[in-house]
Formats: sequence, C-alpha cells, structure tokens
Amino acid sequence: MAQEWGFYFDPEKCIGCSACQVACKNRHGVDPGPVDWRRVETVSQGEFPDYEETTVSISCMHCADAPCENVCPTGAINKRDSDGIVTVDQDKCIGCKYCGWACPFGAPQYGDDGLMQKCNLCLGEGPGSGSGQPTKKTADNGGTKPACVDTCVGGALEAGPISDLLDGVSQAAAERFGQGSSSANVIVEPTTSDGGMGPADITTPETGD
Amino acid sequence: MSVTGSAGALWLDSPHWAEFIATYLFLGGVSGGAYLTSTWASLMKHLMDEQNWLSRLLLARSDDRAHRCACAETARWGSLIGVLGIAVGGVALLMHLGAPLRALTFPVLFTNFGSWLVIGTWVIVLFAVWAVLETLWLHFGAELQGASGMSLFPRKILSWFDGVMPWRTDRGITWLIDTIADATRPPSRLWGGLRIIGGVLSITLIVYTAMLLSDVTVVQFWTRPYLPFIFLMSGVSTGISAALLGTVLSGGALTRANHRFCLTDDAIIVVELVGIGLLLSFLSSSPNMGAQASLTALFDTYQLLFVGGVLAFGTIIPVILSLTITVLHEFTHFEENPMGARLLTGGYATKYVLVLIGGFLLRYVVLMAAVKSPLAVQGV
Ligand code: SF4
Ligand code: SF4
Repeated sequence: MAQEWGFYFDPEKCIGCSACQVACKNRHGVDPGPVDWRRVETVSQGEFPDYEETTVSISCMHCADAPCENVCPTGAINKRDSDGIVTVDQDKCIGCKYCGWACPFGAPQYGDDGLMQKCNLCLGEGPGSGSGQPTKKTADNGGTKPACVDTCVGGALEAGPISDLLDGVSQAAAERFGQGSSSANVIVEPTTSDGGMGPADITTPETGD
Repeated sequence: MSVTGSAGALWLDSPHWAEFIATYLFLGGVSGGAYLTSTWASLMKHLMDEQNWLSRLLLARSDDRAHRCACAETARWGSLIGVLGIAVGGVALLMHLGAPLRALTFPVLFTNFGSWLVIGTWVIVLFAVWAVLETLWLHFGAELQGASGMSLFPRKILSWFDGVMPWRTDRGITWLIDTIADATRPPSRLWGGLRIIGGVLSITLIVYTAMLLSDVTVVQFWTRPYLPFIFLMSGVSTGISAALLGTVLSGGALTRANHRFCLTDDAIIVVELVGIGLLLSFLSSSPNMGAQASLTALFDTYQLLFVGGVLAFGTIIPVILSLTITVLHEFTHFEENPMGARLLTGGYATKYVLVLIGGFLLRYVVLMAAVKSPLAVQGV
C-alpha cells in the first residue's frame, strides 16, 4: 500500500461541540436522523468527586485488516490499495447489514434505502461516493481536508497518511499506536488521566478495568 | 452511528438483525433437520424390506404395517418441510435486505467466497436442489395415484387444479410431474448415495446458520464452538419435531416410528441443553463486558423469552412431556381407549409444537441478546 490514511484524535483538545458530526452530515448530504458517519460521544468515569467525562469523536477507522470487508458478500466494501481508505460501492451493496455486525466500531450506517454508507474520508460527497474516486491527496498537494477535520474548532482531529500524522504526535501516542492490538487506523493522544491506554488500543474491554 | 457513551466505555448497539433473520436461521435449521429426518425414515422403511443384520439390530420388523406407513409419511413430510422451510426462510432473508432484487443476482454478484453469507447461499442452493428432488421422487409417481396420506397434500392440490382448469385433460400437471418423477427417480443404491450427500448438505446448512453469526468476533455470545454446536442440536431437534408433527397429523402418533423419533429428539434436546449450559458458564466466567451484557439481557430483558420460552417451554417441558407420554404409551393400556389415544396424540403434537416455538425463540434471543457490545476506548 502506497500511503495508508488514518485519523488522529486528541481528547484533551476536544470540547464536545459536535461540529465535526454536523459538518460531516452536511458535506455528505446525510439526512437528519440516526445515521451519522461521525459521532461525538461522552464517556464517564468514576464517581463524584472523582468523576470525569471525556468526549470522543469517532467514525470509521479505515482498519488495516477491515473486518467489514472480510464479511461483505459482494465485495462492495473495498480497502483501497492506493490510500488504504475503506470505501463502499452502493451499487453492489445488497443491504444485508453483515458489515454492521462485523465492524467493532459501529461505523457502517444504513439509510432509508437500507444500503450501507459510512465515512469515506471525504473522497467524494454522498453515500457510496468514495468508491472509484482517485487516490486521496493531502491538503498540501491540492487535496481537500475531510469536513470534520476542517471544522474542528480545537484542532482535535486530523487526517492524513499515517506516516505523516505520526510525525506530529506525542511519543506516547505514536508508541501506543504501534503497539495497538486493533487494526483501527486512528492515533490517539493519551489524556492526563490516562494510564497509558487509549483508542489506538481499542479492543473489547474487560470488566474490572 | 449506533454508539452510546456511558460509564467507562462506549457501547455499540447493533440492532441490525431481528425477526426476519431469526426466522431465516430457524427455518434453515428446521429444513436441514427435516431432510435428515426424512432420510432416516426412508432408511428405516428400507430396512424393513431388507431384513439384513442392520435391520435386525435396529429392530425393523417387516410385519409392522403402521410403522411402515409412518416411516413413509415421515420421509415425505421431512422432505417437503425441507423444501418449504428453505423457501420461506429464503423469502424472510430477502425481506430483510436493503436491495433484495439485487441479491437475486448472487451467482455473479457474490464474489467474496470468504464470507459465510456467500458460502451459506451456495449451501442453500445445493440443499434446495436435493430437497426438491427428494420431494419429487417421494411425492410423485404413477404408483402414488390414489395413495392416501396427509403428507401427499401437494399432489391433492395439483389434482384439484387439474380438475378445475378449463383445459383439463387426463394428462394434467399431476400426470406430468408423476412422469418426470418416474423417469428421473434413481435406482435404490444411487438414491441412497444421493441421500448421504443430502444429509451432509443438511448438516452443513444447519451449522452454517451459526457460522454466519460466530464469524462476528465482536460478539462473545456467538462464540465458537458453543453456538454452532447448540444450533446443530436445535436444528436437528426442530427438524425432527416438524417432520413428526406432520406424521402425528397423518395419524401416526402411536406408531413405533413416532415413538423412536420422539425419544431421539429428547436425547438431542438434552445434549442441546448441556451445550446451552456450557455457553452460559463460558459467558459468566468471561471478563468481557459484552459477554456480561448478553447474560444480563438473557436473564433480565429477555428473561421471559429465554428462561420461559427457550429453556422451560422449548426444551425442558417437551422432554418431560415426551417421557410421560412414553411411559403411558409403553407401560399402560392407555392408548387402547379412544380418549387415551387422543390424549397421547395431543401430547405428542404439543411436544413438537413447543420444541418448534422454543427453536424460534432460541434464534431470536441469540440475536437480540447480542445487540450490545462494548467499544472500548480504554483510559479515555
Ligand atoms: S471501522 Fe468498521 S467500517 Fe471502518 S474499516 Fe473498520 S471495520 Fe470497516
Ligand atoms: S450491507 Fe452492503 S456493504 Fe455491508 S456487508 Fe452487506 S452487501 Fe456488503
């Protein structure tokens, strides 16, 4: 793979305003309603007075070995060789929702037409528009920034080739991404309260953590 | 996106599959199990005619006419339910899809042979061919003209059509299908070989309905080997129940054939219960939050359906009922008075219906109790 794209997220900079979520919906003409390609969620921890809330902005992680692609019967889902972006060709999708089960991150969405749609890293606009688009270019090379990244007020979100992203992140985040047990292509900065783990380690959690 | 934030973790809600897929998985199991029952009943009938060492071992006495009739009925019901089950199941699957018509182009569209949906589709197609042929050969043929037996209702319906159609002739649709059946019916040994292949296909079909789910590694509840094993047992058990319910309706409740199948079904149900117990103990010892969420769903949200429907009414009560009927049937003269015979018949029918309801509810809770998986963002 030439350059594998992914996301970068810094929870410390995220203020939970949901601008990324709204911008994504607007860019792709996603109808109002439960379908969201990007979503901002709050995770709470502890009890008062040691109570803490963190907001996270998540979307498709464009996984290295994408479980959604592996189960899709028709090959509608494609992890592109050229940039590692996982796209969906709605003309091939039969709407079986198998990908919805296989994805560990809840990324596949199903609109009123019952077909799968999800983040395509703004390769194109509208559901299914990413497939067949040329290789993604960085903003420096005349490409467009993903809507979520463009709109993020706190600079919490970035997108680009993983190698470029890793240049600008903390050592802890880079190390954790390298050790991550999941194939998700997202680099996450540790929070101050973080015991060294973060979403790059996204795994099925165990109770008593 | 169906993700909700909460204490310590993000939860992934996956309400992707519900009644339609539960119906599809259930009928896939019933179809495969009914076909297996059909082949077994055909073998028993065959052994009655052969009188070789195997028939002596299996006590296939050739003088038991009722047993022979019940075997024939069971074989016919089994193959027919195999066809109807997979047909209705297929429609249930299509109804769930976003683009059902597109899915019908599967021979060209389904290119990912690593996907269980693709493997399963081809297993279904092959199984359907086998089940249709078996039904054709068992339900049609010149020999069956004028034959009685409730399982032969498809040919009764066709004969009725032949009678009311404006172009009616002596050689109607029934005659045509009878002719095709007689011309294509293979000789006994070849037919036996085909049935063995059909049996393998039906087991593959039943197991596939679980492999489709257990390939989703996010959901601990669907873990291998527990779920495929439970579905295999449940598929065979519900298949026996569906085919023998037909035999009971045909008046074969008090035959040795029904009695034996019913006891076999009981044994399978007990093994299935052990499988369910092992899965529950695996889940309860798993530190995985999704496993705990599924347990909570089973014993809380879906308590009525799981504990009441699947465990009590779908497995334990049918076995108790069946054993009670067996004792009455074998060790008393209960069946000799008409009321007793009716009660026993009703008892068998109730058992089979309960097993079928339990089988459906099992698929339903297996889907519904898996709808919540943890998406961990550890430390965030
Ligand atoms: S996050 Fe989900 S939808 Fe995106 S590539 Fe990974 S498995 Fe596929
Ligand atoms: S819903 Fe569409 S994209 Fe998802 S697995 Fe089914 S066919 Fe593939």
